[in-house]
Amino acid sequence: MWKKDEGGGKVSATKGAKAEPVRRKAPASDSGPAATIGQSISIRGDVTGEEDLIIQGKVEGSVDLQEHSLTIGPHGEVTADISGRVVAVEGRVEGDVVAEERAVLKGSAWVKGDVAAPSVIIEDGARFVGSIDMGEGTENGSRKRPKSSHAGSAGAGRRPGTPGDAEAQNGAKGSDGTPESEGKRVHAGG
Amino acid sequence: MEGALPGMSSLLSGLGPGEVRSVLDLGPASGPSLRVYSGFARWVRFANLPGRMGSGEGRDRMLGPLPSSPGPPYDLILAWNALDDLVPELQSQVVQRIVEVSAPSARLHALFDASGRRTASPMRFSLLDPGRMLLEPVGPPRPRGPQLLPGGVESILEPFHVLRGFSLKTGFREYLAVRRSK
Repeated sequence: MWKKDEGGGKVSATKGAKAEPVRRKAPASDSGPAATIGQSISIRGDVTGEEDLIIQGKVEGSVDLQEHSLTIGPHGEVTADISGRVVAVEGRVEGDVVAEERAVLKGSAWVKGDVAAPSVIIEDGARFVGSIDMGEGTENGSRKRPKSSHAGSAGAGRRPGTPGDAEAQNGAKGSDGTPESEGKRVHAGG
Repeated sequence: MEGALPGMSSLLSGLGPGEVRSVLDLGPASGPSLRVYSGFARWVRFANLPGRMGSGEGRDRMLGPLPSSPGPPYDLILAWNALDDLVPELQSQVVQRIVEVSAPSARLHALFDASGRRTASPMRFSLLDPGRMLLEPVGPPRPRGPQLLPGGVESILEPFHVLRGFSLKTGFREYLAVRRSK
């Protein structure tokens, strides 16, 4: 379920249904707890917002939080390109991760996709297949944001032709079919 | 277990600004290694070659292309001991796959077991700092092939030209090589 829905934006959280783009605008002074997509919620479509968000449910499409923090909780399953100021992953993400400031793959994370952020942290136990770009941004000063799933077929997920796809086609998985990784808790980059 | 990497230390300390921008690590993703790479590189890819090759019967299958760099071709490739653990045909094949995605003057770092052990556990490596690694066994010991002498390693790594070799207390021999144009 959606919590803290004071923003008044259109919210669609029908289980398994195709959703219209979700945009929620928080008051400028808002500094309260992050909004949450609950564990029983499935969203197919584009999620945008102007407040922090925690995803514990399933999202297929794209997630763009612009200048706000995005957390994929331990129960979260996201098949989407995702972006935010700080992006933390504790659950499962299949798609590219773009963070303006920092991306954190927690020990319980499973990520298959490319990560772009000035600072990238891979914690011990995180499983990750993909590339890492620790540049400060693209040439025009901002990072590539997720494409709307409505621009093409619904449920965009991974874009064809990315390095991650090539790796997936080549069987770049662990023997259990999951990304393999490890690493201590460290802070890499900016 | 931790161990020194004098060759890696000399390689990384001698890097000029912008000399290495893109790194291919053939091991699984490692936070500590990423922290070291972030000191000089912008793009990093962990290929997890041992994971891709699998184990048992399936591990000798043909290897597909390595993932290309998200930026410019790889300037630095860290093979760890991935080559040491393969049959000779696959060793050459992996080197050719590396050549396909590497820059014309790319550097290659590799470890080969020089301990003479008949069995060894598969290992996972992390770079703790430019001259120190962490070695962790990730499976039970298994039989090893014959130990490769430096001449044999040089042959396997072609067209990478071995510049230096270091014998390590951990039983490995460390090789630094640079790709040379034909």
